[in-house]
Parts: sequence; structure tokens; C-alpha cells
Amino acid sequence: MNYNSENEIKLRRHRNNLAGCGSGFILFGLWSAIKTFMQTMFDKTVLKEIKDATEISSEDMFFFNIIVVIILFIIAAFVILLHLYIGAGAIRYSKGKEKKGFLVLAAITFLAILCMMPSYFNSAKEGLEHIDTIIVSAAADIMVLFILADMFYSVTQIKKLTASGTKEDGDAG
Amino acid sequence: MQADFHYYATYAAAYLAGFTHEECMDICYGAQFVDLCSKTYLKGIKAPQTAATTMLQLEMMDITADIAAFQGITRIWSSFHFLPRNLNAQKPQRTKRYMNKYRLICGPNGELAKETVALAMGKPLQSVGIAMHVIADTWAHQHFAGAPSLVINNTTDDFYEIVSKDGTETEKKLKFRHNPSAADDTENGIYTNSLFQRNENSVMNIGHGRAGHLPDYSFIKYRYLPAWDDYKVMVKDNPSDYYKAFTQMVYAMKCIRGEAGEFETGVYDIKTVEPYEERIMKIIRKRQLIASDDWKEFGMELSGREVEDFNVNRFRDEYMSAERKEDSFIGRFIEGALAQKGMVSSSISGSGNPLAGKFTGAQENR
Repeated sequence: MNYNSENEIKLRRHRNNLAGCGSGFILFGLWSAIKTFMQTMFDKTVLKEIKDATEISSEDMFFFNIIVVIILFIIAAFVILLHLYIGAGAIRYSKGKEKKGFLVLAAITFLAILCMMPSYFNSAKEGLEHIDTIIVSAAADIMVLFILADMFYSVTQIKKLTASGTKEDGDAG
Repeated sequence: MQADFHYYATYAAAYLAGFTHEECMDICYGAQFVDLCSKTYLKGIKAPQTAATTMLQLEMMDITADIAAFQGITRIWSSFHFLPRNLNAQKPQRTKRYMNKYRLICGPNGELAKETVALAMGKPLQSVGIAMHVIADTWAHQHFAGAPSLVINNTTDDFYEIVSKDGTETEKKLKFRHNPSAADDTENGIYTNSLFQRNENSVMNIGHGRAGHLPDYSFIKYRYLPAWDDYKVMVKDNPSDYYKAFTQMVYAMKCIRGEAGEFETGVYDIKTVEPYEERIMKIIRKRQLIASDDWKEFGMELSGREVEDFNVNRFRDEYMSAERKEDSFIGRFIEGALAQKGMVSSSISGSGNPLAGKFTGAQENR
């Protein structure tokens, strides 16, 4: 058996790459959840806008804060689970399990982040006092886009190499 | 390799090379002693610790995380158990830092193997034993390096045993567990290996820890994916390698006796060993964790003499009570070990690789 044909070596490389992308994407899920939480809790303008819009009295402030925290936890959990599903799906695919459901969500996530990118420029235009946060957030999101793009590329290559490998085995047989 | 090969098989090889029974006993004792001559042992007999040829697990856990300690580890393991094959190996698009470790990858028939045998010529039998240990390990431990390195010594968990039956080969996935106290289970394919360590320079990333004891079992042929070979699968045929190691040892010892000219790499004394090939391959292929009994029986059949079991303290009292230490068995072993360590260390540093440092003989007493 030829373990080291060019096809087999490339297949291992792309599988390893895909598994790495999956792991990286799961870790970024934690970052996204933390970012969502911190932006809402520590950015006073967001909370102030919500309070003004809902006309909350001072007596109900405590319950308001609890509800906000609960909603944030739910959103954070959703974000983490989304990243976990996509990342774990990529890792499973790299090990030969053919389920590609994760790719649909990955594509949606990719498009969503891409659409949100211009908002960083708008934020920057409004004022430079948070420019450091904007730059870091933008860089992190660009990295996520890169991971997702790399994931799609690896899946495509694995599919192509697996098909050509099967064809070679068929021709040899 | 283990005591079965370093002690008993070396005895048999030495006898086939033409040494007497007594000489064979000194050679095989020296060969096996390499695996036991730690700093702790030398400290216990008040011998120079710079002559250590191995490190105990506790000694490795106790070392400091500085460059001097790293170089000390590399000196011992590269000199005696993972002799580098090619100190000038080339690999494109790699940093110097990576190449320093890549060039320490062990393998048979390298320039240092030739130097090792040459160093034993005209020297006491203990030096011959040291050389035979080193030569044997170049076969068993090939493709791993004697320096802590994740990027060289790591592997994936995908190990497959390749089993031949009736001319066809089938594969069986091996499982690893991290339980050093449990014996390896050859029937069910369950073996112990070292845990993955993320730190590049962790001492747990030295040698073949990630492959467990597989390189030391003569019966097994297996494939795995090493970290350094760019996603190429490595097929390790231990039965074939062990036979080559044995025939090369016979040839090397004939050269040392002056019967076969200068030692050349890639040469094996097939002719002398051929009458015993079937017997030797039967021992090598027998599915067992240690083949000491079989090799011992073979050696005793060859010489017609009793091969004493190895006893690490056999020459301890002689050394401790000797007036001239250098005339004792361990004293001569120490000289051979220092010479081997010096040769390998200076070769590594002479090639521009700083990982073994400069060996002056005065370090390592800590």
C-alpha cells in the first residue's frame, strides 16, 4: 500500500488544517461571547439607551439589570454553541465523517461578519476615543473570516482529493 | 532497545564475531550498563557524574529549565541512545532553530556511527560494549531525536500495526493509554505512551516517548505519522531492523578485532549470521514484551557456556575498593563513556549546532 502518494500526503495536510481551523473557531466562540457580554455591560451608552427607551423607574433598576444579564447569558450561550457546532463539525469532517451541515452555518456566519465589517469604519468616524477597541475587534473578526475561508478551502480540497483517490484505486483495481 | 538485545543478543553477536565467552560477557555487560549508568548510580559509588550514560525519570523531572540543562540532556541522549544520522541534513524553508533539532534525528549508518566504532578500536571491551549499545539503538530509535522537541518527536495518535499472514498484510489500529504501571497488551494492541506536551522544550518530548515502547519491541511492524516528515507516514519494520542491527554488530565487532578492515557503514555480516537466521528471526518475531530468555538460550547454545544474568551491582564493590579506579571494570567503562560523549558532543558543536554545548568533562556534577 502506498501510504505516501502525493494525494495521501495532501489529504493529511488538509485534514490537519481543517481540524486546526475547527479548534480555532471554537476558541473564537469564547472571544465572541466575552465581547458581547463586555460591550453591553461596560459600555454605559448601550445600557443608558435601553433604560431611556423603556422609561425604567429607579425602583425597578435591579430587576432590569438582572434581565439584561440573563439575556446576555442566553446570547453568549447561543454564540458559543454556534461556534462549537461549526468547529466540532469541521473536526469531525477532518476525521472522515462526511456530514457537512456545519458548512451552511459557517457560510451564514461568514456573510454576517462580512456585512458587519463596514460598521467598524462607521464607529471610527463617530469618534476616535474607542479606536483601540475598534481596531482589535476588527482584527479579531478578520481572523475569523480567514479561519472560515480556510475551512471552506480545506473541505473543498479534501473532497477533491478523496474523489481523485477513489478514482485512482478504481483504475488500479 | 531493551536488556534482551543489549545484553543477551549482544553476547551472541560478540561470540559470532569471534570473541571468547569471557570477552563476550564483558562486552554485553558494558552494552547493557549504558542503560543503567545514571548520575544517581555514579553518585552512589562516588564516580564522576559526567560519565552518566542515561538519565532516570526522577533526574529528568528534577532538571532546571535553562540552556545548560538542555545541553546536558542532549549530550547524554544523543551520545548513547539517539545517535544523530546526519549533522548536515538539509531541509528547505526551515529556520536555524528548527534545523538544529532536525539534524539530531537518529538513524543507522551515519558518519557518527562510523566514528563510534572507530573510537572502540584498540580500547578495552567496555568501550566495545558502549559502541554496540549505540549501534543497536541507531536501528531501534531511528526517526526520533535525543533532544527535547515537540516539532521533531511528536506524533499523532494514529498508530497501526501491520500484520502479515499468508502473504497479505492487514492493519490493526493500536490504542495508547497513559498508564506507566500497566504492562503493554500485545494481543489487544493497547500500549502506554507519553502524554502530549505543548511546550516545545519539555523533557517529556525527548526521544520516542510518543511511540511508547514500540521501537523497543522486536516483533512489531507498524506505521505512524511523525511530526517532522511533512505528513509522510513512517513504516517501522522492527523485525527487519533488529536483524540488520545484529548483523551489523557482528561486522562491527569483527572490525574491532581487526578481522574485517575499517568499519564501513551499510555493511552487514550476513554470511556469518546466515546459518542462524531462521533461529534469530524466530526470536525476533516472537510476540513478547521481552525476549531475554530466548536470546539467552541462543547465546548459551552458541558458546556452550552459562550466560550470567545481568546484575547492575556486579562490579560496584570492585570499583569502590580499587586503588586505581581506571583499572576496574567500571573505571574502564567510565573512560569509554567520556570518550563517546566527548566525540559526539564535539561533532555536534563542530557542525555549528549549539544544542549539545561544549563537553569539557567538568560539567553535570549537579
